[in-house]
Amino acid sequence: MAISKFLGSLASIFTRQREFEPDTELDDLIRDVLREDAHVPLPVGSWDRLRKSITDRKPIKSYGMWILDEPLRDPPKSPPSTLNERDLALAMRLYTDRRHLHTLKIKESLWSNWAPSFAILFNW
Amino acid sequence: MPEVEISPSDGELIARLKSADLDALGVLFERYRLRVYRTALMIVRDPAVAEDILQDCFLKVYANAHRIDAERPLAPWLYRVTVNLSYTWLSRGRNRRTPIDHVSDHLVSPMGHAPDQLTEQSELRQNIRKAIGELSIDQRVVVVLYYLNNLSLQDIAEILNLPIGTVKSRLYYARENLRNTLGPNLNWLPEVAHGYI
Repeated sequence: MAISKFLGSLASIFTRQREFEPDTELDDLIRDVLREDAHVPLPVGSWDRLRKSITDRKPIKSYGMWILDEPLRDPPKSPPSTLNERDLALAMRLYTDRRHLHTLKIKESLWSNWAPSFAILFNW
Repeated sequence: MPEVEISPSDGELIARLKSADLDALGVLFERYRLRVYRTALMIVRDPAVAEDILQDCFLKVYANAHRIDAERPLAPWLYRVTVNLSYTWLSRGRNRRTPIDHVSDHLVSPMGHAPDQLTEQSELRQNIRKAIGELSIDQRVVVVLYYLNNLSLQDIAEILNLPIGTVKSRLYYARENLRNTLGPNLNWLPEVAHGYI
């Protein structure tokens, strides 16, 4: 009994130092900052999502968190690996057009380097 | 926690919820959503996660309605669930989502505050935000419950299932940490507190 009293008084000596006394200025500042940050609107449709979760699916508990029982869905269709006739024609046309433009650009840059400009010829 | 008499009472709504009345859950959701959301937001500091916690919290209310004591106030139970869910997320999902530091940067500039309005006055507030973000989870939870939700030390002790001395000690150390982090900036406090700068 005496030992427990002694331990209790010893503990109170240590805990006295950590006593939480109000500090109005700092307290007000912390309170203001927290309220300012927390003053954000709730995401729209929160209740509708919750209601839908409950009506559509059953909640299950897993790893300490409540998660929703997600039904197994069909895998998405893989994109086609070959082009149909119409898409192939379009791709070929785009390819030819781009190639033609590319050739023109090369020719233009070559000629502009080789041929002197009109201004140079005029001032010769 | 002083509870104001609101009709229908939480107890009546819980009783209705036991017979799977979703409208009763809707009333409870409307009544407590902001408290739950904001508490979670200030602990996890990620709006998307806070909304997940809000949803999980009320899913728990719905799923556990038959086990909730309708005679006892609901708010402390909701706070406890919110804190538990926040702990779970912080311990498991921390690496999967945006780090808290990144989010605290976002929280540092609240919406509606143009950069040109961020003057010296808000510099201290920003430092306090950052310092709160750097508190240990235990301390941050107590700070949020005490300062944001205005809960008494006794209520916090009950919610967190801790002795009241531990709650006081956590608040004490949290404030000491804030003081240490802010350092000389705290000399500005009286002026800031009274809005002079």
